[in-house]
Amino acid sequence: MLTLKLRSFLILSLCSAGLIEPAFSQTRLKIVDQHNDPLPNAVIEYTAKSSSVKSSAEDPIYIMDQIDKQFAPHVLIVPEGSLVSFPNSDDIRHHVYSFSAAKTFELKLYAGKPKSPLRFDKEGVVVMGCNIHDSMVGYIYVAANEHTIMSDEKGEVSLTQDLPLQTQLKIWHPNSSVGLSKHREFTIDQAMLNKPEITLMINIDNPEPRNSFEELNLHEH
Amino acid sequence: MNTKFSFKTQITWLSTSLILLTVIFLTISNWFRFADYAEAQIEQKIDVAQNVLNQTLRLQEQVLITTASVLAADFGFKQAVATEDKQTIKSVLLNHGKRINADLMLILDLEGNLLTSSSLYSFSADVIENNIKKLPFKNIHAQILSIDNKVYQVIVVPVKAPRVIAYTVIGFEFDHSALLQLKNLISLEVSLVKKEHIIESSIEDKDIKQQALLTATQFGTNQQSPNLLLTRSDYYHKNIAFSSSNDIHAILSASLIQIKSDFNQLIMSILIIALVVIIIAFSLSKILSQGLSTPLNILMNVTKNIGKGELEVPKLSSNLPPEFTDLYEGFVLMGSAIENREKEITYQAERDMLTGLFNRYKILSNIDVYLKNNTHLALITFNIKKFKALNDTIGSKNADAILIEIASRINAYIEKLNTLNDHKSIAARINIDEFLICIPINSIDILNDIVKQLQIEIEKTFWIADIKIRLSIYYGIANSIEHGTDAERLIRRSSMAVSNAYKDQVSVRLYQQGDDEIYLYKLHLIEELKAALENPNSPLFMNYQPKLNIKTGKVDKLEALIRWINNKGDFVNPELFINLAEKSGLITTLTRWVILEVIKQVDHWNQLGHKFKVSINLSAQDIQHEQFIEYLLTTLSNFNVEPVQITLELTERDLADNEQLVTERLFYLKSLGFEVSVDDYGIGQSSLAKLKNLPVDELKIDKTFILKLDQCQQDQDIVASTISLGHKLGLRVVAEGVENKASLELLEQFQCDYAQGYYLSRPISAEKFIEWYESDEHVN
Repeated sequence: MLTLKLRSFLILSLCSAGLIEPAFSQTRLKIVDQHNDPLPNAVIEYTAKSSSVKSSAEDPIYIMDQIDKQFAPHVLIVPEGSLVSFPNSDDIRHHVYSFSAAKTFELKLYAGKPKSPLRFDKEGVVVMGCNIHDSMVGYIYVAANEHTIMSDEKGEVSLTQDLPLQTQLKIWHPNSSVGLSKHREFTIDQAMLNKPEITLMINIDNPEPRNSFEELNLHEH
Repeated sequence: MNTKFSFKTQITWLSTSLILLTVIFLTISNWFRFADYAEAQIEQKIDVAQNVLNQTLRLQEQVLITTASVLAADFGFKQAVATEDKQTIKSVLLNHGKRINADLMLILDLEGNLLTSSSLYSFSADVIENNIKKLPFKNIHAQILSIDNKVYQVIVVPVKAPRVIAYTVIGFEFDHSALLQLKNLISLEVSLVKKEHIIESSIEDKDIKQQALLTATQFGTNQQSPNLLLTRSDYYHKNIAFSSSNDIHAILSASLIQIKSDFNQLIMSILIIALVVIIIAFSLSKILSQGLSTPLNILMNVTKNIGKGELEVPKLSSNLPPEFTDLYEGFVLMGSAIENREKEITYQAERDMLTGLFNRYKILSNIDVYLKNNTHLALITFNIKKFKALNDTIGSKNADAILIEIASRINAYIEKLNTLNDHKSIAARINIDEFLICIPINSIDILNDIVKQLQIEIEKTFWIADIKIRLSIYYGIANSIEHGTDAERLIRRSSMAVSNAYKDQVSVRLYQQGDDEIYLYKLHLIEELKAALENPNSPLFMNYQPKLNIKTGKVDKLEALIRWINNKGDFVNPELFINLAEKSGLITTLTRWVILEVIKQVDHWNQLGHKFKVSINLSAQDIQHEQFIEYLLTTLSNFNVEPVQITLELTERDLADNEQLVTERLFYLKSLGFEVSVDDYGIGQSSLAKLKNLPVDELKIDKTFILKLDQCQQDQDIVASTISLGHKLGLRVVAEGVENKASLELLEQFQCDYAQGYYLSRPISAEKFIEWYESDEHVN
């Protein structure tokens, strides 16, 4: 776990360093579900002036790892056109696939690191599964908008810049009750700004149990 | 019990009907029991079947769900669905459907809209969309779905890639073969019904299907229990829910054919057993009743024989139950007891108890038998002279001893005779002092000898209580050779001979021809007299003989005399018929008749102005009769006649009979004013003492002294002294039988008070008398 956290942190810091300009005044958003519980893995897109240009010539390679029969991270935000590598950190093989329109692919049973990363050059949500491990679900959020960030464990997002009034916020969550392909939209109003923290609520469906065939046998009407 | 049927039949009926009843009740009870049992069996079977069906459906569901899940998890399938290319999806549905033998494969999108279906069937999307349970389908689930008259068990499975991208619906049809499988499993017919239509059924027969549908729809789900006894159909149907479906019902149909045939078999076997039992019972009861009726018949025959008089009960020949043997012994005892008693009764009926000789009836019948067999008999009747007096003298005990001794002498005599003769002589005591001996004879020549020997035997001296007694005995003899062969008449004739012997004072008298005829004539006269007394135009009539008052020379008294001219016109001797009337008890009636006639006549004369005194002859029986005086007074009071005009004449003999009563009565009569005259004075037991004591007014000197008075000195002396005696005693003296003037003059000379006789007048009718009286013929 410690390694996971460390790695995530590294990746996150790397991302922030690459995408978001540091700002002195911070805006904090908090995403909660209908039970007022913090909602991690929520993707927030907002409209703002582009603050930076593409810095590096070399595309960074995003990592969607598979650890302990789970996609890590659960949700990965990548800019449109990014390369994502799918290393397999488990000692078993995985067969990662996606039938999503944004990127349909299939990485047949493999171990270790696949030969080459995949490019996600179409905006949208890519739902990934493993053909031999039904409980594995992962999402790659291919974002066209550079202002796309994800809530942390506490459901919080810190913005380095102020959000002016009328800023449009689009929030996506894998379990959002509006569906996988839709966003929940908010507009920043004064009331929100007056608070130190902007709290946004998203209805979610309880996550489906990740049925396995073993579980099916216990299934009862 | 109805006695119309024999005992045997009744027993047979009783046992047979008891068993029949038992069998009927058993059968009915079994019937109901079995029906209940079978019904419960069916119900149970259906319950079990229902459970099995549900369980089977559930298991099948499980299997199908698993199968469907596996199918839906197939990567290729997912991949195909994810292509969203209809043709591809359709082909994969077909392909994968075949893998699991699914009859129906559909893909629904996340909103539940039909994306595509396997091309085997074409459905309208609405049917599917409306019937599949509402979205979202959180779980894999199975349900029953009917589409276009087909019933499917459908499994709804999400297609996950890995998030749900679509739903696949996999259906398995409940077709005929599926139902047949179910049928094999639950051993009941299964039909699936939707909206009162049978969609599919394991039943082949159309009618039964229809019936099932009818039953199922008629009663709904809340049905009656099967009623085997009422239903005529071969199936029992029950409507049950089919899985969790709303519109599909299942009908379970249990065949009753087997149960019914079992049931019929049971009833049949009960009936056969019953029949066998009845036959056995019938034969057993026949044997039993035979066992009862045979001894009963034997006993009945015994009683019949006893009834007929065969009192000798034969020894029991066959073996009978002990009760009957005892009863039979009882009959044997009864028979001998009856026999003894009968002998005793017969003895008593036939015998004279004192002497042991036969009685009159027995000897009569025996004589009758002899005579009918043409055996000639001599009948000797003998009578002990003055036995009554002897009885009074020596006491009845001793008299009885004499009778017994006579009987033993008769027996000894008869025994002697019987040794000589083939035909037995017999003897009877036919009256207190009269015996009859019946001796078979061949000729009348030996009669004298027989009687002599009898006399010798009987008339030996008797020694009774040391008293020597000799009896005089009268014998009367009749025989069948001379005197007819009628038993009764013969006995009568011998008796008559005894009477005549007594009358004639001879010891032995043979019956004389004609004796009997006189006797019969007398009997006839009595009958005729009886009729005459009752006849209003009586052939009896009164004559009156005048009595001359010698002193005055006038007739002032008359004697009334009854006369009778019988049916043949013969004049009947008054002495004869009065005597018969006395003997036959008719005398009181006759006297009443006379009294009435005389009083009427006196009354008539009184009215004519002639005051005559009339004497009426009375017998001893009259004066002793209870109502005589009353009748006399009543009759007098009915007519205008004074008692003093009536003189009552009684003979000395009449006065002697029951002297005290007669004396009392006469005193009374005299006090009433009647006069009393002693008739026939001088010929009987004339007693001066009686004359002294009796309330007599008049003496009538018997005519034997008067008839030849003028010729006989002795008569004159007697008459003169009697008249003198009478006068001395204060009595009037009347002389009757005066036949000539000389006699009358003598009487006048003797100072006799009245004279009566032919010289004056014969007895004549009242009319003639008055004629004579008024013509003064009598006055000389």
